[in-house]
Amino acid sequence: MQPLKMDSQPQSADSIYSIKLDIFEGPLDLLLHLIQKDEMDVRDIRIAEITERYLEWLNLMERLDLDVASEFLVMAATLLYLKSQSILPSATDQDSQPIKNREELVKQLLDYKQFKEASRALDRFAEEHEQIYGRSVDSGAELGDLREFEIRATLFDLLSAFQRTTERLEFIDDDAYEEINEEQITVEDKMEFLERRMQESDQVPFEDLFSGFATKIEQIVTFLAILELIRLKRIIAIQSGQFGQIYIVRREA
Amino acid sequence: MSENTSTPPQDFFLSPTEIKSILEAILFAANEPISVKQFTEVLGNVSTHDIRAQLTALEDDYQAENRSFELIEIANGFQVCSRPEYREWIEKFYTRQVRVRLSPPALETLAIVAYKQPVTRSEVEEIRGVNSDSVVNSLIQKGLIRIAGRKPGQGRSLLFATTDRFLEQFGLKNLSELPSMEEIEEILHEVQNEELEIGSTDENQG
Repeated sequence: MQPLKMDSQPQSADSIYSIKLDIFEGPLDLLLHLIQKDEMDVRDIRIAEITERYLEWLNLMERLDLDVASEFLVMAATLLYLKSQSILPSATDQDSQPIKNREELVKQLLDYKQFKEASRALDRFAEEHEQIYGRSVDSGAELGDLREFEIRATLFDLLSAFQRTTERLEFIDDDAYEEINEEQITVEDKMEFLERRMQESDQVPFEDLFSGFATKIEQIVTFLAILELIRLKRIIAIQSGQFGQIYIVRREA
Repeated sequence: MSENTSTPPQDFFLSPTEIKSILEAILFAANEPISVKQFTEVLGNVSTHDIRAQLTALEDDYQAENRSFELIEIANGFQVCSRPEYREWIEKFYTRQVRVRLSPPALETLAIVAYKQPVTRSEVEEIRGVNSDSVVNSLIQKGLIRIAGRKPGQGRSLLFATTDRFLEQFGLKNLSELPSMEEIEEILHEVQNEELEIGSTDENQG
């Protein structure tokens, strides 16, 4: 296998892509994302359904070789436990208190959701405040520096959009992995390609970056290249509203 | 002003108009919000009350004269800023790049610190349900939060709090201006309506 060279990233021997992304989003993020996507009420989540979704996503993230934090696995265990409880109501919870019960999970989600909403309100404040300029020698440059920030669309928004563009989750089969080796499409190549593409226009709809590819592998590699470019702060992903269209925007050097 | 001298003015009696002009000069020269305390230090024996009164007078002057800038209260201080309606002209002058705000994980971590401060890293992590080391560190680097001491008792964990820069960047006078639950709901409702509008124009174009 031709190992990939990603700058500044150590190679892991068994990884095809060798991309280690810093994922700052946690399992609660993913859960809320799935709950809202299904238009469920947090207080009234359908555990079995959400557990299934959650595991699908976890699987997807692992197959894409994203660095899934252990907290995601703990949450998976919690969900499976709660699911088993709901299926077997006779199993008393008297003796078994290893993980969270349903109420605790709901409470945690609600608390978290509150802060998430507060953060969106704050973001709005920042946006409004950006409309005015204080007197300073070089406020343009200074404010520009202050705002060298990562992505507005979360990882899960990107994964959602990726899923949509590639129709179905199950498409990533093991054959695909083998094909990658045969075809030698590297994430590096795709990054170069994307950067050239972004030279032409400052802002491209996420889906457009996937059009015209013959193989699934190419799409997967493209997706990973996008994530890597975001990590390297060469592009950013912005979204018009929750679950809205995602645009990839080039960042100035 | 006709009677300008280079001697420090502490020993003189300053008329309200003179105080106002001095405040204006300092605001003009400064490139960050100035607190009343800072003004007091400069103006010596002028009372806080008089300083506040002249700041208000200055604010009123700008309004009455319909200036393109205004005096705003922000980050525990005062600052002269351009009015929002001139934004586009200023940005044409500065030709700034795309504005990007904090990533969602960074924003939510910042919100937790803002509302629960002083707060430890593990308290933040408990709410977020995920390790938050690097997010907290990047917020420190950006000057939006700071170490505000150690929690008494076992472990003596570091406590984090927001900075004046946080207030400045988010346009808040002080921490009591953080939106309440009801206000948050209202704001999000507003945002959602706007997003729906943007969404529909997106479709029309696509």
